[in-house]
Amino acid sequence: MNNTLIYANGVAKFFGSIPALKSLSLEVPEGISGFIGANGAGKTTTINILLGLLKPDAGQAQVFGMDCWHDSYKIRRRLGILHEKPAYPGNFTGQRYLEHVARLYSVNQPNQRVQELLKEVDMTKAKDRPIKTYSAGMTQRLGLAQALIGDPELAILDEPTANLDPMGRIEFLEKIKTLHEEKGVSFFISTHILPELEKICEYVSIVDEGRTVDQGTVKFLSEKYSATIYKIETPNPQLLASHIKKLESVDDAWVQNNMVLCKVSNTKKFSSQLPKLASDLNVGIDSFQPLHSTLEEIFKVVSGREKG
Amino acid sequence: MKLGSRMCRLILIEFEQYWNFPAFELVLFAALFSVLNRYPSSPGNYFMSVGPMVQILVISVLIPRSFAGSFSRREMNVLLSYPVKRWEILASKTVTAFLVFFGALVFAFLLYVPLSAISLFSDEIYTVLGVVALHTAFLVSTAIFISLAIKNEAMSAFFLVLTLLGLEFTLTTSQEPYRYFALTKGGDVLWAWTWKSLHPSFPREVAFGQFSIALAYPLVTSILLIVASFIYFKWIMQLD
Repeated sequence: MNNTLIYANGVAKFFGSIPALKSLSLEVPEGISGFIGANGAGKTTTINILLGLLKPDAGQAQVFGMDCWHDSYKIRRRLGILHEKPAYPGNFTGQRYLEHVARLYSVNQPNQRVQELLKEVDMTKAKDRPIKTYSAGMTQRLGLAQALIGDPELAILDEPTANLDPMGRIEFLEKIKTLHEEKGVSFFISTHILPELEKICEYVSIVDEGRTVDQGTVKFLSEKYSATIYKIETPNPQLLASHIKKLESVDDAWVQNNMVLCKVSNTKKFSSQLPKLASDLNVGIDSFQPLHSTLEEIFKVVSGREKG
Repeated sequence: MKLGSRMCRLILIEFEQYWNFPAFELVLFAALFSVLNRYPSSPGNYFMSVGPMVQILVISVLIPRSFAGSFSRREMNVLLSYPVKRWEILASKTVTAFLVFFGALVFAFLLYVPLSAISLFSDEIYTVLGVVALHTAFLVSTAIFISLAIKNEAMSAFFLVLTLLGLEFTLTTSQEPYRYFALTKGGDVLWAWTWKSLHPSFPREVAFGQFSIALAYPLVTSILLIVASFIYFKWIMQLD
């Protein structure tokens, strides 16, 4: 991929004897990309490695083709970052803080740029208030402004919607989409809140327990998992699931929300085996269809959380 | 040009942090108290007063806020995500800390000058300020090193207050030449020796060996600790 912005191969990171990342591999292209995983999956550790705050114990991590630990300064010149739970100096006003950041990025006409950004993130009214008086949503919008102040090629956002109410989330993600469409900024968004992300993401990397479990375009993953995961509505899901598991054409089967979900290796064979099995067990089948793969469903399947 | 401009900006950010928090007022009041409490005796008597103790106390409490505190508040993560080099952040924080603590003492001594009817051009005041600058550098570098090592604001402050004050009390009452490691005794020897070399009629006798110990201890320690802090901060430190 010649437009790869983030590349990682076999990255591992341990805190003492506790593995935060076991074997992380990423290949993130330009555009809006999602980095999804449960809490504790290793998302923030990965981002800290990409920023050069942490040194990987093994493997290779690159942004813009440069090594994240040794070329961290060069990378950060082309990067914007919104940290999870960011801490900005509470006594500074939003405008004053952004002016400082603009000068650190050596922005031409910093004051003008700050005014533009404050307008863009709807913070003009609150610009003269100390940051410590901001709500979570306002702090997040200030965070987005400081991430974009240096006109970055790539903005990394760590759990950007975690502290926002539903309306705030929608507005925030729409703002990101607009920025990408109008200014061409690429975004790498780490989150565990998937439904909103699905609306704006083109590419997704899924991480679980410190490993990359799958990655690709949303369309590709959706097709991949729709083709293999089926849901069956039946009055006796436990019985059916226990027998479906034993079929040659099925890799795994489990019950969720009173439905049988099964991972099928040979769809054609399974389609012929299922009616016979149901008839043998004397169990009715109300419906049988491929799983419509939302990001959330894909994530559950890929990370094996369906069975929990 | 860009480097200078970035450093100035980082120093300004750090200075505004001191300015906004009531730290600056605390530093200033402490400096005024420690200098003016000996008025109207000689400025050199600062070293035999509570001055160095107050300096130890204030620096031990406030430096961890700027260094260890910025780790726990995660401000350091944010700062290190901007296009600034690691050494620039440490250098700007160190320079600002030195300027704030030393600047407050300079201000206090400048107030002392008219009150005690000493001429502003008297080299006595500058001799004392030179020694105060050395001691400030020593305390700031020690506090920075400990803050970086412990990375916890309260624990760093606690450790620094106990260690530095404990050392000061122990060294002050110890035998020669160890007593000149203490800031009070060492400072007194440093300014007296310098003053004597400028004004041979000054009645006190100070041996060169005593002067050397009083000078070498804070100077060498400051250099070693600052170098160690820079090596750690630039090449080793990781932030999760």
